[in-house]
Parts: sequence; structure tokens; C-alpha cells
Amino acid sequence: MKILDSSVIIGILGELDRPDLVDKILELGHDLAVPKYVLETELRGEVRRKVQEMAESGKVRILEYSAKDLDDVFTAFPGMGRGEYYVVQAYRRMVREGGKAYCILDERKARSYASKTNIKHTGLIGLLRMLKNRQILNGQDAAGIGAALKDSGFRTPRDFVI
Amino acid sequence: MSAMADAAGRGALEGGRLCKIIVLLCHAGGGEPIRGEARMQNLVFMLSHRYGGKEMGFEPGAHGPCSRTVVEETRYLEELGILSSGDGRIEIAKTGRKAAEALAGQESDMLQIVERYKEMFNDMSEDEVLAYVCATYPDMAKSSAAYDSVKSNMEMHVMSMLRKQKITSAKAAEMIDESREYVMKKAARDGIPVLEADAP
Repeated sequence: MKILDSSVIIGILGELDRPDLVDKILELGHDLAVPKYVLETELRGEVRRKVQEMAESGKVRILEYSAKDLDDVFTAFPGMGRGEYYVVQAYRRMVREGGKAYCILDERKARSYASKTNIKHTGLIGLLRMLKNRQILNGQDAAGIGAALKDSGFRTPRDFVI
Repeated sequence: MSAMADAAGRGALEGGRLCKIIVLLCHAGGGEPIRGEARMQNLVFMLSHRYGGKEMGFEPGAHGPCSRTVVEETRYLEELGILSSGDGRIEIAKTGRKAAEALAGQESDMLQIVERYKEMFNDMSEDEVLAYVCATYPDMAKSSAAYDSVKSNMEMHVMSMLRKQKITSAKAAEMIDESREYVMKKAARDGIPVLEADAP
């Protein structure tokens, strides 16, 4: 199960406007999930609508976990957003229950926390590279997506390659 | 004084969490002093949520959360020669180093968390600390005229914290009650790339 943070969803459905990438990830047999908090609080407008449609069609699972044990994560690592804490909490629950999970986080601070606490994680670029390596994305498409991400100015370093 | 400080340090090891938090805050990060009482109050307040802080007695004050108990405990640690203060700095006294090191050795898990908080907050401006704490715990902003002033420039403070990578764009969005997409776009316009590309 890949648990998506809002920055990755904004990347795929807003920045790139490529909902087909979700289908491509599913083609590889990966399940996708989004914490309810991320959907209802951090995503707005068109991006939220697209995620809701994907949830209705069964492409994305919406995780409705309570905030019960959120404080442990929240107080251990200050500076992250509540959605990022929910992503980590969902990961911990899944792993605790014997499942396999991956956090899809794009922001340095959140990724630093994940690294320090042995949470398996990657980001949008990692997902795109996975699609390219498995030949679901061809070289030309991957290069075009890379150029679009660089143009958005959201990412550092700017010389990344997919 | 050194023997007295050592004995007090051992007391801290056995004693209350508040004492441990204050000493570890001063010890963490290579012993860099805590910049002022208000910052100490805010740091202890944030940590009190992890370390059962109801007994620490925080109330909304002029500069955010304030606890008389924190003031009294800090003074007590100064009297024992563990801490020293002056010129807006609170730090481990020379006579308190041994006790602080012993405490840090005993409480390595707590030290790790305290390090994170100190690293995050100790080089923020006072306004940024107040913005973060009061936006995260609005109940503590009720009596703060200083926060009212900070609030009027909240977006500026939030973008400054984002630039320094103190907060993520998700936290920034929460603090100004905007969408994450709004913050990411504003950051890109301001030349702050907030997302990291995976290493190849």
C-alpha cells in the first residue's frame, strides 16, 4: 500500500494534470491510499474532486483512522503538517498489523523524519522512476514530465532526472 | 558549588520531568544557550505535550504560554549551580556540566526529542516562535497582545519559516488556513523550492 501525502497528489493531479499516472501505478499492482484528513483538509478544488472520483471508482482507498495515537507522532517531530502525521500514522498501523506500506512524501523535513524513524518512503520522482524502470512510462514521456516538474519551481535540486 | 550541582543533577535524574526538560534543553545542541525566558517557556510548553505537562501549569500569557512553575524551577536550578542566566541567555553553568552530561546519558531518548525542538526553535525569531506556538495551540494566544501583532503578518512569518525549512508547506498551510497548493505556488513565486527530488 502506498500512502500518499497531499504534495504528491498535487504533483500528479494539479502540477502535471496527469491522472493517467495513477492508472499506471495501479497497473503495476500497487494499491494507493490517502488519509481522509489529507483529502478533506489539505486538498481543495479540482484536485480534491479528482481524488474523490478516484475513491468512488475504487482506484484510491480513503483511510479513516482516528486521531487517537496521532499525538505520539505529532509531538516527536515538530514542524510537519497534520496530513503528514496522518500519513505516518497510517504507515505505522499497517506495518503493525503485518501489512506492507510505503509513505509517499515529497518534503525534506517529512522525509528526514521518515528516515530517522525507519519508515519506508519515496516521493513523486521515485514513483515516476519506478514507472520508467518498469517501462510503463517511455523515455520521452518521462523526460516531458521531468521538464514540467522543473518548470513548476516546486522542487530542489533542479537538476534531477527521471 | 560543583558537588552541590552534582547532587542536584542526581536529584534531577530521579526527580520531575520538568527539571529534566529544562536541563536537557540547555545541554542539547552542544550547550548552545536558550535565547531568553519566553523562548524557554515556549520550548517547555511544546515538550510538555509529550511529557505529560498538566502539572507544569501553563496559562496563556503576554508572550504565549507561561508557567510560574517553569520560572521557579529554572531559578532553583540556577541556585543549585546547574544553570546560569544573564543577557537574555539561559545555559548550563560550568558547575552544572557534569550533572547535565549524566542526565543526558540517562535520558538519551528524551534528549533526542529535546534536540529536535531546540534545533527547530532556538534560531527562530521571537515572532516566529510565537507564531508557531500560538497557531498550533490557539488557546495559548488568548492573552497575547504580541501574538495579535504577529498574526497580522502571519503569512510573512510562515514563509520565512518555510524558507528556513523549519516547517513543511503542509504546516504552513495550516498556520495561515490556506490550501497546501496555495502555499506551494506562493513558495515557487518567492523562489522557495519546498519539495525534494529523490536521489537517483
